[in-house]
Amino acid sequence: MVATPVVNWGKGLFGTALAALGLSLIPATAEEPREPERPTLNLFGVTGLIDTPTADMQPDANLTATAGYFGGYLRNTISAQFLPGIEASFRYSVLNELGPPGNGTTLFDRSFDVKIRVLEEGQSWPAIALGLQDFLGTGVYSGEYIVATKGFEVDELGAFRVTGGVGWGRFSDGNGVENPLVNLADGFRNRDVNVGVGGNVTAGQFFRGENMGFFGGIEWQTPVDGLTAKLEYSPDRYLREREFGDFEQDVPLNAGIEYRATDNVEIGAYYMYGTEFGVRVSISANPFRPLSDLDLEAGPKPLTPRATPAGLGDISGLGDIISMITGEAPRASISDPRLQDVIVHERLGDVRWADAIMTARAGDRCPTELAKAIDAELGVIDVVTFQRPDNSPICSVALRPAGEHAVRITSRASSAYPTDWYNRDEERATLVKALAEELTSENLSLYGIEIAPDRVQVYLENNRYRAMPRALGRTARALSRTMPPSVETFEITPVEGSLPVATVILKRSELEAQVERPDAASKTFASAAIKDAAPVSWDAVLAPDTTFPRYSWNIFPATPVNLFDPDQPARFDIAAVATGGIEFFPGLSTNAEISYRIIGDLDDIERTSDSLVEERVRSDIAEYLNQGNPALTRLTFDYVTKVSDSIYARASTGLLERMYAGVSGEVLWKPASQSWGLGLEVNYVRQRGFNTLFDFRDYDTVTGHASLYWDTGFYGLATQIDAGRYLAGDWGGTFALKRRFENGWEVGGFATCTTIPFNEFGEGSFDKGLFLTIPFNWVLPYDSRQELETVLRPLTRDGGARLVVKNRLYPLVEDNDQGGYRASWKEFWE
Amino acid sequence: MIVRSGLVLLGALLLSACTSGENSSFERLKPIIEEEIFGGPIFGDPEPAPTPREPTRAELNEVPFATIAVSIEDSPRAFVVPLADNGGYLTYQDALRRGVIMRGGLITATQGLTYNLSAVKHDIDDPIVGPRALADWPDSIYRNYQFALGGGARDFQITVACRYERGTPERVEIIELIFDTIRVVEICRNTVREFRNTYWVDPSSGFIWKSEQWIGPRQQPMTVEIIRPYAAS
Repeated sequence: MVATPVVNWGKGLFGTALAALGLSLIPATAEEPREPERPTLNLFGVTGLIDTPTADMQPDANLTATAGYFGGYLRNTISAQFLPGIEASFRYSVLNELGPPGNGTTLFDRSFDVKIRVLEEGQSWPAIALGLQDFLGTGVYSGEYIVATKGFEVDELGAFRVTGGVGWGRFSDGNGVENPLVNLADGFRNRDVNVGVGGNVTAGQFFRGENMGFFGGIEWQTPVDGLTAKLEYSPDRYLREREFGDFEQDVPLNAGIEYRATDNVEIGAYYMYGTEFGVRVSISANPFRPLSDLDLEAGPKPLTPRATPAGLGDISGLGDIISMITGEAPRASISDPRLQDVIVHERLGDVRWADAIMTARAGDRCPTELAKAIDAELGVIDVVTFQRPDNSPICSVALRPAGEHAVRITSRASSAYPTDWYNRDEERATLVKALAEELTSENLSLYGIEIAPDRVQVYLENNRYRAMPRALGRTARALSRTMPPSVETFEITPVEGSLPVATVILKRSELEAQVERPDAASKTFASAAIKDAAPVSWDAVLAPDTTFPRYSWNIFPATPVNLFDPDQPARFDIAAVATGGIEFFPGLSTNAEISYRIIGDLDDIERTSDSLVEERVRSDIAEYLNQGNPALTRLTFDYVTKVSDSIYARASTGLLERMYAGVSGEVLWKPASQSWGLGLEVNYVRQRGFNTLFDFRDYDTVTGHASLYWDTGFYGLATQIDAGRYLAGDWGGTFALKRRFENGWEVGGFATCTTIPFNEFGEGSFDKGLFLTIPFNWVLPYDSRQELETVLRPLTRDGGARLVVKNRLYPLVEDNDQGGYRASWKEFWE
Repeated sequence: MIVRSGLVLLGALLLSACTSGENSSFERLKPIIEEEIFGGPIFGDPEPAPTPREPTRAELNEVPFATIAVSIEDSPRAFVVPLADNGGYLTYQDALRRGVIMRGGLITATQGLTYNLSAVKHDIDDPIVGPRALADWPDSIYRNYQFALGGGARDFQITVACRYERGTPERVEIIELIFDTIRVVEICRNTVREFRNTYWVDPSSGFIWKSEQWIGPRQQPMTVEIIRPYAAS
C-alpha cells in the first residue's frame, strides 16, 4: 500500500503535466518593467498643465526641482513623488510687490502642497486626484481641488490628455458657482486669508469660501519626440497680485509649449492670461534610475565548492549512494508490494526528494528499479532514499543531476572532514592570513576572527559596499576559498564603528547548493539565520592586521549653504574640511573636524535674530558663520560599546558641534529581529563662543530625548518619534517620516512641536523641514557608502532646536537587522 | 555622453578627498575620467596598450585546463578558464573579474559587465544545458532570465518561449580547428520581445562548439567558442 500525502500527489502530477508541456517551474509572464511615462509639470512645480494641476502623478519616487517664472513671480519648487499615489512639494516663491499689504515690497513665501491620487486611470475612466495647495505656509497660494485627467490617442496626431477640475480658494475666483458645502454648514462661507506668522496647517480653511471654480485644459504630446503643447483655462484671477502690484490679466487662458530635452530636463514657454510670458525649467531625478552604470565594479570571485569526500558509501542518513541518471523507462510499478509508503519533500531549495519506506520483507538490497517507478508516477523526483521500516537508510538513488548534486551537498554537510588542521597553530595563522588577503581584494577588512574545527566567526569591516549583503556574500565566497572543508558554518558579523551589529549564520553546504542557481538570493536568505551579535572581548578575536591605536584622516571640499534669507535667498561657501581620529582601542576614540572657508558669502549675513524666545540657541547661527573661520566643529572623546546582545551605548564629551560643547550619553535597544527600537539620550551642554574655537557663552542646559524608531516595511517608510527637552529648555516632540531606498536614497520630512507657543516661535510657527540623502553610488560607476546628506529648513529658529551629535547610534544599526538585510539581500551574490 | 562625463567629473570633484584609506575615489575614477573626458589615458602611460595577439592553437594546447573564448560584438576574444564548478555551473573569469557562468552550453550569468544576467531558470530538458543528439531536441522550451542591475535599479525577470530552427550543416573554425556542425537558431519570444540565439551543434552528441547568445535587453549578444571542453580537461 502506498500512502502519499495528497498535496504531494497533486503537486507531482501537476509537475509531471507541466513538465510534459515544457512549462515546469517557470513563471509565465515576467518581463522587464516598462519605464513609466513621466507626465509634465506646471509653473508651481507639480504635475499639471501650466498654472493648474492635473490628476497625473510622476513615476514612483521621482524628485523634481522646478523654477517657474511669469509676471514678476518666481516659484522655486522641490517636488517628490513620495509614494506612488502621493505627490508632495515645497515651494519658495519670490513675489514682487506682494509684501505686507500697502508697502510694495517683495514677499519671500514658503509653501507646501500635497496631491493624493483617489483613483488610478483605467480604460474607461479618468484618474482622479485631490490636492491641497499651500496648505502649510502663509496661504498666499492656498487652494484645494479635485481634478480628473484622461488620456487618449488620435492615430498620427499623437496622444492627448484632457483635464477638468473643481477648486476652492485660488481656484474659485473666476466662473464661480456657489460652494455646495455652505448648504451643510454656514461656516463654509468664510475663508480667512490672514494666517498670522504662517507655517501652520490651515485645515480650518480647507474647502471654504462662498464659491468654487472650475478649471481644465488639454495637453498634446505631439509626434515630435519630447515636444508637448498645452492649453488651459485657469480660474485664478490673481486678485492680490492685481491689488498690490501691476499685474494685468485679460483672459483666463494660458497656452504654451514644452520640450523635454533629455529624460531629466524639461523646459517650457507660455503666453499667460493674455498679458504675460512665462518660462519653466525642471530637472528630475529618480532613485530607481541611477545616473551612472556600475561599470567599474568588478564581479565577485567564485565560490569554490568543497571536493566530494572520498568513499561516499553509507553516509549517515542516506545509505549507499547510487546514481541512475539514464533515459531508460521504468521497469517496475509504484504498486510494488515491497513499497510501504512514499513521502516527498522539497530540500535544498527545490530538490524533490522522496523517502520510500520499504516493508520488512523487502530486505536490504537497494531497489533501484523502484526509484524510476516513483519518479514516473509521483512527478519529477530528483532523489529517492529507501528506508527500512525503522527509518534506517538502505540507499539513496539520484535520478537527475540536481539530485546527484543534492546528495553530494548533503553528504558534504554530514561528512567527517579531517579536522587535524585545527591543532596546528601555523596552519590556523595561514588560514587567517589568506582570508584577510581575500577580503582585501574585495575592498573589505578582516576586523576579527574566531576559528573552530567546524565553524568560523568573522568580524567584518565594510567601507565599500552600500548594501551590506553584498559584503556578506563576498565574504562567504572568500571563506569558501580559504577555510578547510570541515568548516561547515560561517558566522559573519559586520562591525560598524567598532560595534558588532548583527550576526549572519550561513551553512556552507547550503551556499554550495545555491550559488549560481536561479533565485539564489531568495533561497540563501531563507536558509540564513540573522541574530543579534553578542558583545565581544576584542582582545581574543582581533585579526593580526587590526592593530590599535589606529588613525584616520580625511580632507575634502564642502559647500555649506544658507537658504531663504530675504536679503539674499541663497548663499554658499566653498570650504575645506579636515577630519581626523585616533581609535585607542575598539570603541574608544578621539575625533576632530575643522573647516576653513576658502571663498563664499556666508559671512555676509547681516540679518540678526529677531527671536522672541528667551534663549537664542540657534537663531544666532549667522554670528557663528561670520566669526568662525576656521571653525573647530568637533573635538570629542567618544566611547561606544555593546552592553548586551541588543543594547548599545555611547558616551561623548568635548566640542560636540559648531554651537555646543559638553557631555552626551546615549543608550539604544534594537534587537536585530525587530523592526523597531528605543533610544534614550541625555546631554549637558554649554553654548560655544561665536569664534567656534575654545570660547564659551553663558548659556548652558540639560537636553535629551527618548526616541522610538520604527521601520514600517511599507515602501521603505521609516519613522522616528523623539520626545524630550530641547536646547531652549522647551519640552515637546519631533515626528520624522522618511522613505528609504535600497541604494541609500532617503527623502522625508520632520516637524517639531514644543511648549513654545507659535507666536513666540516667530515666523513659521514651529520647526519643520525636509531631508534628502543622495548616495554617491547612484552617480558614480562603482559601489560606495559615501553620500550627500542635507536638511532643508525653511527657517532656523530657537524653538524645537536639537543638539547635533555626529555619532548617534541608530544610524549605525538601522540597516543591520533582518528588515534591512531583507531589503537588499538580492545583492548577496552580486 | 556629455551628461555622464559631467557627472563623473562632478563626482570626482566631490570625492576628491585625500584620505587615510586606500584606493581613493580619484584613483578609482581616473580611468573613466581619462576615457570619457579626455578620450584616453593622460595620467601615467600616454601610449595605449597594444591589442594583445591572439594565441595559436599550439599555445592554447599548453593551457592545462578547459578553455573558452568569449567576445561581445567586435571585441577581441578573451580566453578564460573555469575557476569553479558548482554542480555543473562553471565560472569562467578573467583577471579583471569579468566573466560568465555556463551550464552546459548555456550562459546562465555574466559578471563584471555593466548589466549582468544573474541566473537562468530553464526546463529540465533544455537541450542547450544537457547535450543530446540533435534529433532528440524538443520542439520548444521555456526559459526565465533573471537580472540584477545594481545601483538601486529594480531587478526584473524575462520569461520567453523558445523554438528551434535547424539549419544546414556548417563548418566552423575555432582557432585553427575545423568542426562539422549544424547551425541551429533558437527563436525566443514573449508578448513584447523576440531574440535569437545561434548554436553550432555537433549533431550526434548535441555538443555546442560555438554559440551567439542573448544575455539581456541592454547588452549585445555574447559569442562563446569552446577551445577545450570542460569534461575533456
